[in-house]
Amino acid sequence: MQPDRQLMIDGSPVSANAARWFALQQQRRRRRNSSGSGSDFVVTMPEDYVMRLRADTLGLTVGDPVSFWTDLSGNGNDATQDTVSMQPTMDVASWGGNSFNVVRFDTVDDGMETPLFLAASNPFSIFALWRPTDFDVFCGALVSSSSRDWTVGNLNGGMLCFFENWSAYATVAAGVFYLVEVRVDPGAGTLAIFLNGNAVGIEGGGCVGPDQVMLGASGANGYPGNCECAEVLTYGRFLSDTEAQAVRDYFQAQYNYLDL
Amino acid sequence: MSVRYLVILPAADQAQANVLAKSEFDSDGGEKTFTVGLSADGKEPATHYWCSALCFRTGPERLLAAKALFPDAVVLDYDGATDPGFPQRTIAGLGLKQMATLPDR
Repeated sequence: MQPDRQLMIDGSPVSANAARWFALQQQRRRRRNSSGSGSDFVVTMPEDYVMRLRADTLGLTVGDPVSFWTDLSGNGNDATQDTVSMQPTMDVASWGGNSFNVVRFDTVDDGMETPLFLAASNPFSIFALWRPTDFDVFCGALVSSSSRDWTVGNLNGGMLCFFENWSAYATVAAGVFYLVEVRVDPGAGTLAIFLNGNAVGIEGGGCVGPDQVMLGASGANGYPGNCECAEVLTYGRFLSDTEAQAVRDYFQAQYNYLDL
Repeated sequence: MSVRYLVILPAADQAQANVLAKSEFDSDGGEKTFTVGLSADGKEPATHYWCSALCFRTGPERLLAAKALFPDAVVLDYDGATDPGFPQRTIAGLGLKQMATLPDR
């Protein structure tokens, strides 16, 4: 198969399917804009993220340990792991007609530390494209906290969000990539948790930030990552529904996570 | 060429094993090698610690030599990419669980 050399979105090569989908979305928006209603407008992904980790930027080959994952936001919130046995590994995943890099966190002890601090009482938003690897693992944590019992991860074959209390749970299928989306405003008590764009949050569920952000087993609860992760986007504010949709559009264009 | 090893050892060996990991295998962060705990019911206190590590070049030989110092340690090689369930099956066979703090839903 010929590589999609000419197709670029956000500066990165994407598959023909992803590019077609992105073009369709743009055309649809243009049609709406010219419809005369005045109620619709072109939305681009908010770029004020405070941490952006993207596996496609790792200059590694399959099987290499990942000791340093560069934050693309410009804020220096790089993820690091000094302990060799706890370093995740680089891998390539095939999904939705695409092949893309992922960081593979094992089912035992892989994790990374970041200097990013999302204060427990402040609003934030996290988006991550991920899939669990072993459904027999009781608890896995893609995103965790250095000090709190705080997890965005998986639980016996499901997606789990536990922010010092249950915040979301949803069943997921083995081998499938999902976009998990967490938008939280602790002050307002607002919790918006979505899996592939579908609301899965628990009303009145745990609604606090993590303080220092960790990945995988580096968190205080020690839950292994137990997943492959292509990208993590984090904002230091509560994104609106419209902005969140723009982020979903980006992930769809980049990875075709809905496998359209 | 690398080989992935799963190492499980009793909590009583934790301190010595971390010192050895630092001195013999990982001068940067070896002191944190065995920090993820296990127990029979998944609750504190941890009775065992485990790690999963990639070993390169002479690493496997040195790891197996180190095992002689820890007669109660379990050291097994596996392929984490093709058999990610190996660690969970192994601890289940030993009557151990990962530590978890989640309350019932």
